[in-house]
Amino acid sequence: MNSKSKAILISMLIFASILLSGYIGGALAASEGDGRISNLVIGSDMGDFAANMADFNCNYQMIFSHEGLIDYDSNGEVVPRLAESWETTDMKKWIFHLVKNATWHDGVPFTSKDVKFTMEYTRDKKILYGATTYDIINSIETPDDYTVILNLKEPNAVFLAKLANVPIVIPEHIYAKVDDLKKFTDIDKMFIGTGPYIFDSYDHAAGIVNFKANDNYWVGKPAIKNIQMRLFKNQDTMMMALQNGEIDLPYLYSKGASYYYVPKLMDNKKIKLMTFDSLGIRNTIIFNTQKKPFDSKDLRRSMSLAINYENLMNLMTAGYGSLPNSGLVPKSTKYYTETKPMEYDVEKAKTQLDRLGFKDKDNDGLREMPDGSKFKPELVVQSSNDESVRASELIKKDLGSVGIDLEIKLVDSSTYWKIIGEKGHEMILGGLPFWTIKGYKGYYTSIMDSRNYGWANINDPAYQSIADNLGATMDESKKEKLAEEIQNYYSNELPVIPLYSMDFIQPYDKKYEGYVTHPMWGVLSLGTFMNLHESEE
Amino acid sequence: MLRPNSKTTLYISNKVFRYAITIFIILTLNFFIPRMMPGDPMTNMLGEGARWMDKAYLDELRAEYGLDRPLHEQYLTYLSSLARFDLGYSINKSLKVKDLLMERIFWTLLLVFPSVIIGGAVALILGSFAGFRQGSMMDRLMTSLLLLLYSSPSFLFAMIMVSIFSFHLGWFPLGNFASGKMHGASYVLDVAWHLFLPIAILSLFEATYTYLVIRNSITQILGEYFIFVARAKGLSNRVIELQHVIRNVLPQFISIMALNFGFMVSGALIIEIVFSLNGMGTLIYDAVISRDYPVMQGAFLVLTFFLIAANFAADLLYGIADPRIADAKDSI
Repeated sequence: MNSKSKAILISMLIFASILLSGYIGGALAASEGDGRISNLVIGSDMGDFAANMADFNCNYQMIFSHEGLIDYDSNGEVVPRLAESWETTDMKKWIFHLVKNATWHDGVPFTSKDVKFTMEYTRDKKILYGATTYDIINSIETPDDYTVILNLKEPNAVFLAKLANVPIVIPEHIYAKVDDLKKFTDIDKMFIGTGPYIFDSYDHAAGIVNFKANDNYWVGKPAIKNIQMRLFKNQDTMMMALQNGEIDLPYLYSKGASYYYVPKLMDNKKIKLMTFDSLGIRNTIIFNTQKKPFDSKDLRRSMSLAINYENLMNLMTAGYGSLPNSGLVPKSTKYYTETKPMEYDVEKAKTQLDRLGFKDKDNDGLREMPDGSKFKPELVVQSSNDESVRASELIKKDLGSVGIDLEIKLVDSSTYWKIIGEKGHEMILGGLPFWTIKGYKGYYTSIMDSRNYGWANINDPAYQSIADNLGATMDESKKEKLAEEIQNYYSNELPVIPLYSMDFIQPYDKKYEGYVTHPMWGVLSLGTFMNLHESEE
Repeated sequence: MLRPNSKTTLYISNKVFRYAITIFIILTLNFFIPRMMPGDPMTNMLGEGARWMDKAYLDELRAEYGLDRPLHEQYLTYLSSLARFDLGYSINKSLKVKDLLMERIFWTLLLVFPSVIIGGAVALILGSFAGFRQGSMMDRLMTSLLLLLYSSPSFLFAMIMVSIFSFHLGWFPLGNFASGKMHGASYVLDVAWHLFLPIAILSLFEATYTYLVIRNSITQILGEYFIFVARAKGLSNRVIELQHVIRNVLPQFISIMALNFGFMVSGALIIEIVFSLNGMGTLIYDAVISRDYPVMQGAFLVLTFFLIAANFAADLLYGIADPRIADAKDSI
């Protein structure tokens, strides 16, 4: 035997010993006699595991170990969680009645004092994910252990949505002793919540976060005894791991799997695919409505006529897409109003642009501004978003067909948000995820109204009046009327061109079923944790 | 005339002084360059963070991290923190930069150090082999193959390797440094098993560039007059190759290796992404994208020290590899 053969043999022996020592690289999928799943292995793209509560991306706590007073259901409507009911008469005084059987993971009962503490602590410590939400509270009363009264500084009709965005209550008995959150590194204590899962361990080398079921969970025993989150830095190997059975579920935060993988996954008999409504718009063109010449709704409409929406949707979504109407708001949203669909008509676009004075004056095939200067609208695109980069090329081609010389400005995410923050953009390409419809006064006001984030920078008093009224009424009939008004405003003024929506694609190993979706966390919802079971197939 | 030990002392103190100035300049650049990039750590929160906070709140946060203060004040704070060996806290991760770096550097070195050694050794052996047999079938085959590798996109190549060896053949894991829940010898074996493929790929990439340099240098040296003289003296090929050619190639080889060692702590971004490894490459990349100044400063600081140390070591090794360089230094 030569030395090369010896080396191969030794390597093979090493691999065999590893295999025999217990690691088979697969999800240890077994369900025990009690019908509960013993171990679910989730592949995740959530990045490095940073558990610090000061981190504004403390998603692991929000998903597994902690809970808020209220939550969202699959359709994006608020539902009870630690607060079993609530009431308000004037939208200023909110009374929450808490569940009585919840305890923290260390056995201490959960009470209204924890809620009061959380809100004051988060506000005082300026914790990123909740400080501004709680800043609108003037005072907090806890008349008994299971009642919390929040007195807001001003009436707020969308307070529940704001509260549902901050799904964390923290234990007073732990955090009262923590003065500097950054220095609080006791990871076991950091994860003490009331939620369905208890933090078990984090193996940095293996990139695995382990959670075990909280069998004293006040809702009931979770259906999965152990959850392993295996962290991936790319989607390709995550999908390979799903195909060879190493993981049961690939989890892609706020985006679902790419459609590239669908044909391959469909060939695999062990894998099923589910799709669900993203409750948002995958890609839009957002105008800065205060920047000339884009302050003209006629120009915005003319430009919108040049885009071949059907073609764009087909190329970008591979059959998983749909075309939103000009009123933007998704059909699943409460008080959705039917508005005009987006229109594609090249000849009409040309005629309207001519009428507005955007003509090709020097016969180079490209239009000039009415004052004779070059018309080169700039579309800011995030370079890290491959889909947006491809979509922007198609949009450039479409606008080019009516003589508009679109300039694509590819920038990294920090630069992208800096440009938008300073309102330096003319147009940006970006999605409107679920939370954008809920913020500020609701119905996309957070990203429209110049008084808030206002990516579209709308300062029209008529618009702001509708927004203010929306944020100040809980009367359902008034709300419905205002929701209709604001959707018609979007449809008529077109501050945002909706390009296409796309369902989230969620592959999973078919040995388990019962996944329930959540608008923020996809399939990692309480519904899934309580209902997942072995498939009957 | 100075005595040799005085010369050495002078030489070393001269070097130390130069390196001190270099370090100071680099530290200053490490502070200013990230801040010259558009945006700051808070602007990122205009995106995803908009879910939780109002815009006005970002200015308060900016003030809390001192980002609203004049640049010179921030610079002085930065220098005084460094003097206390305080690298601060990551803005994005809210964890100690020192802890983040320590954890990442260990695994990065475990990944990159063997790759540099193996890659360098392979390049030296194959490069010499091809250089001495220039034009032969083996030379043409190896050069074409390594050129192909050198010019192929590393992400694509690594993904193909993963697809073949990990996914289809199942010989290696799809990623990470370990399987988890293992201890003792089986843990060490498990880590070795996980590192095998990434190290093999990294070594190959390390080898390609160095191979080409070695091969071409040998080809060039073989045409030199002193080789002609050595041959005329009747020296054997082996003596010529080892004592005359390789010795002349060594300074270049040392330079490349020093650079490779110096850059070790910057990690291997592509390999880290393909194999889902938490190394310095992804830490630095994420810090740059999110404008996490303290992490960038800390990572660049470590990188600076490694590079300077590697340069210093290379300086010393030049003298051993080529006495002419040592003589030149002695005459300073």
